[in-house]
Amino acid sequence: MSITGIIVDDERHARQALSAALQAYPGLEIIAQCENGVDAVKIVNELRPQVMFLDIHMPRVDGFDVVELLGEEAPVIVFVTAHDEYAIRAFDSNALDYLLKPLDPERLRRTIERIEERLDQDEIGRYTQVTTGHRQLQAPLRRILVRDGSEVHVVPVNEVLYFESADDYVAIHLVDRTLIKQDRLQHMEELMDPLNFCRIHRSFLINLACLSGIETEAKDLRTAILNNGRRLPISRSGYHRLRSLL
Amino acid sequence: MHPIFAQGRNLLAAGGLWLALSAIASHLLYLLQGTEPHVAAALYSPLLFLFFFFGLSNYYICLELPIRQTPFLRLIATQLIANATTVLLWLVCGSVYVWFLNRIYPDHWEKLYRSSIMSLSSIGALLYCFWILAHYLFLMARQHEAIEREALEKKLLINETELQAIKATIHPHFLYNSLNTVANLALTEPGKIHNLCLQISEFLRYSVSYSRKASATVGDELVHIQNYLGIERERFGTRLHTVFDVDEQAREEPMPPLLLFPLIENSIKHGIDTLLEGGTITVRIRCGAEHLDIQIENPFDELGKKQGGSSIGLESVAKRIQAQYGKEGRVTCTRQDGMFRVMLSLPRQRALQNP
Repeated sequence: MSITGIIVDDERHARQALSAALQAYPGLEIIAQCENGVDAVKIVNELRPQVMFLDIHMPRVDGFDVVELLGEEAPVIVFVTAHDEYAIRAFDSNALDYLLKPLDPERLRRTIERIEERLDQDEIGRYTQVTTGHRQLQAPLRRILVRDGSEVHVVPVNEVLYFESADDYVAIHLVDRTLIKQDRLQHMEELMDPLNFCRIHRSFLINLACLSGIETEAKDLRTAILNNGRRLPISRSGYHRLRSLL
Repeated sequence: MHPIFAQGRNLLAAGGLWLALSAIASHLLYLLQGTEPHVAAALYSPLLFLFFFFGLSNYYICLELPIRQTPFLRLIATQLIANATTVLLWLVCGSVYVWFLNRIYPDHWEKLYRSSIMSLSSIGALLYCFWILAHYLFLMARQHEAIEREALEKKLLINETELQAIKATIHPHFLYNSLNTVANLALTEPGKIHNLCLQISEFLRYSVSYSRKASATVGDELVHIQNYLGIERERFGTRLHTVFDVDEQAREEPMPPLLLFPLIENSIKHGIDTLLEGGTITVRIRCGAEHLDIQIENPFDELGKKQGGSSIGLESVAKRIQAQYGKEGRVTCTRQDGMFRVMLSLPRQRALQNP
């Protein structure tokens, strides 16, 4: 049985050229081509390819975002990019390979061999997980990417009311809906701007812009009231953090 | 602070010169008065040397009355009054000195001083005039130097911004991307390669040759960016649309070369390239009575990863316009509802030449 793969690139010629170059390998079948990261997430969900040739520089959702969004569901990743400035990050993300454009046929042949090796190993259960290539970002995040099945949501951080932790997930509460992201609240807290978001409780990280009041029922028994009327408990250490910020 | 104190060497030289001058002057007085040499030396030399410090004060008057900007009469009158006052003050100091000399070594000092007062005041006035001359010469030299330096700095700025413009043009990203497109087309649509290579070489030729010229026409610039957009259209396909709305009479207008390219490059890089569906770049050029108005707008992704900060390209364009036109030229940009708009307003060069 042949290996299934998809090509993700925002340039039509690049997709076509890679597809043409891959014609030389009948053992690898390209089952779909996507022109952006959002489509890529959708296609991976629907078709479950084994390999993804992924461009890095793409509009809105770039190659690294795609890897992060897919998490454990990501197939074997081969980054294909014109610029070598992403190399370090790409290797950090545990991608199988990193190809530079224009493609060198000899280099591509080695990549295909590696893909075959990796997929053989997977069958005997020695698959190394693809981790997200996102190292700690210097600047606070401006938007959050959430995958809901095959759909990708891009949420501006300032539209978030609060984050709630639920086991291995974080519920992102917005004015009109709630999205679930596979992540830890601790990690979310690190990504947010510490001046705008406050961890008021072990399970809650709130957007200070949405805080409308604090109610004190007794010492160490306080409640935060948000713009939309939602009431959340404040822990003692949470209250200290909140007071130092306000 | 008087500039003479800025460097010890200058002070020493001036002091030495002054010492010689006062020695000559005191010798002159000795000849005029016909008294013993040691008496004349003891009376006149220190007094004349003291005048050195009186003369320094003139610097501030010269600084206040720049020679070209001050009405001639006012300049002469002020300097005359200053001269008389300074000499008078000096003579007062002189009489104190004479009184002091009498105390330590009584002699006919006072009589000698009184009899030589006319010659002393003339010499003082003359020396003061010498100071005026020296100060004005110094100030003029300094002004001249400042003007020259300013001109040089301006020229340097223009050169530097032009260099940046060329650098942006032959930026490796552009070359990589173009080469990539060529390589891709070789595999998919080889028939398109020839035309693309023509566009690339024309684009590079313009960048290299016009970066040395001071002026191009709006028409030249439009052909240049059309070439660039043609190259990029191969990459972006249906994601890139353009609209050109240009006054026919504007095409012949002169303008600085390579000014539009960095702006269009920005529209692609920070605009079209960030949008899933792409968008339209609109270029409007209007020829007003006195100004040439250029407006470029493009949509951008508000939810993009990078905050679309001010780019180096835009900054260098603004610098070039400032260096070339000063306050006459304007660059403004706005960012609203997912639309980025940059507007250039350049004085029409023809209007400037034949008012």
